[in-house]
Amino acid sequence: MHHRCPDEEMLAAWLDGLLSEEARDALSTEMSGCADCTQLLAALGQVGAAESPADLAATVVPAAVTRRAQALWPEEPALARAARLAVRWVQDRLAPLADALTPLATPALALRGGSTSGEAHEELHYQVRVGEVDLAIGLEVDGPEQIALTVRPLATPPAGLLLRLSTAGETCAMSSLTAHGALVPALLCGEYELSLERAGQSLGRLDLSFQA
Amino acid sequence: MTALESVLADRDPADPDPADRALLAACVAGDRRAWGRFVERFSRYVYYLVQLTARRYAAELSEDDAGDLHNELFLALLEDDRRRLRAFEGRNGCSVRSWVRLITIRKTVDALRRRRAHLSLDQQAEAGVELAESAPDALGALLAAQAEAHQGRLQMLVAELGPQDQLLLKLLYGEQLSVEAASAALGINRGALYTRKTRLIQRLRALASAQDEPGSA
Repeated sequence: MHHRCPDEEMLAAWLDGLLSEEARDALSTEMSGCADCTQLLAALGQVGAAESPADLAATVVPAAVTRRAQALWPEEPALARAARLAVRWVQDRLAPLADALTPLATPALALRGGSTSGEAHEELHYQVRVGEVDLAIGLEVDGPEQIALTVRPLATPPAGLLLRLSTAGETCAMSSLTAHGALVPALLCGEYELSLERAGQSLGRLDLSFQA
Repeated sequence: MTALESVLADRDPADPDPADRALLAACVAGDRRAWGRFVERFSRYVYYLVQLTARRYAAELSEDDAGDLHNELFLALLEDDRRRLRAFEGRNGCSVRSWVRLITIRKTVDALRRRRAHLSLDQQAEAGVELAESAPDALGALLAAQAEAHQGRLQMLVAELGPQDQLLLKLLYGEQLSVEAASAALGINRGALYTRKTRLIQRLRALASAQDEPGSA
């Protein structure tokens, strides 16, 4: 009979004592006849016997190790990726973050009651090419730790384009892209993706990070 | 608050598996931020297991090497379009944590072997039961006596045992595991293991006696 080493879920359930007696008998027969299986089981037993919650709690992982693992997520195709806006809420204003697009020089007329000096503003404006469309992006203070996002094409856009704003994989706003643009009010702090689509296909994407 | 964040916020420390499964499902769905959280959730455990596995096998592991093995585990979960993550079903009640644990130890052992570190795993057991030279306990003494007299007969006796008992013998005497390690390997507590050993002795003695009776084959 051709031996097949037990899969990881089966073996994990075995170690946790979750299998029926019948399943344990069957698995015992399989593993007894395989040197690799027996040796793996021995290794699992030796490590298991040595595990200690106190030692685990005392384990310190170098931060860089965790960051590298988090960064293993595959990069998205260039087609779906455009640029990144990142702003932080600072004392009722918005401060652009250094690792993102640099905002356009904010015209003094665009400020309402705020100072043009310093790094924080009531409004920030960007010009970004997403896919094949040049967009004017506006971020404006819209309440305590809330911003309003405006998106307006700089030229009459082709027909059939859709703007989608999502966060954590869920769509929170969607609109056809017309010459009038689109407004999404009262966005809370978080990570957003603004994607430009046509017929279900992504033409480009802009990441927006609004941090507290 | 998204649905995922809601589940994570309600994580029960006594039973974290539902939240872990939600996090894994979000990773499978392509949520990059969920991956960041998944790594954060299991990073310390994986790092601890890598170091513990190396220590148990007297392998010297630098901080860089431990970090590399840590990252290799997470990379293995993402390979082939997140194949391993997609394949997880939680069959037989398997928890995400136990599954991560198993993969980590397995990959660490494989990696240490590849590095040709000095491991007792490299000592291959003979087919059948290989007896320790010193067998301090009753079961070991019984097996040693049988082996000394009739190696072939010992194989026949062992073959009469149930599959779980055969595996127990291999772990205790083939792999030379301690009682604690054998308990962990079999997923039973020490008391149950001692009980099983005692019954094993009785069974082997009974089998040996039956073979010694006149007229037996």
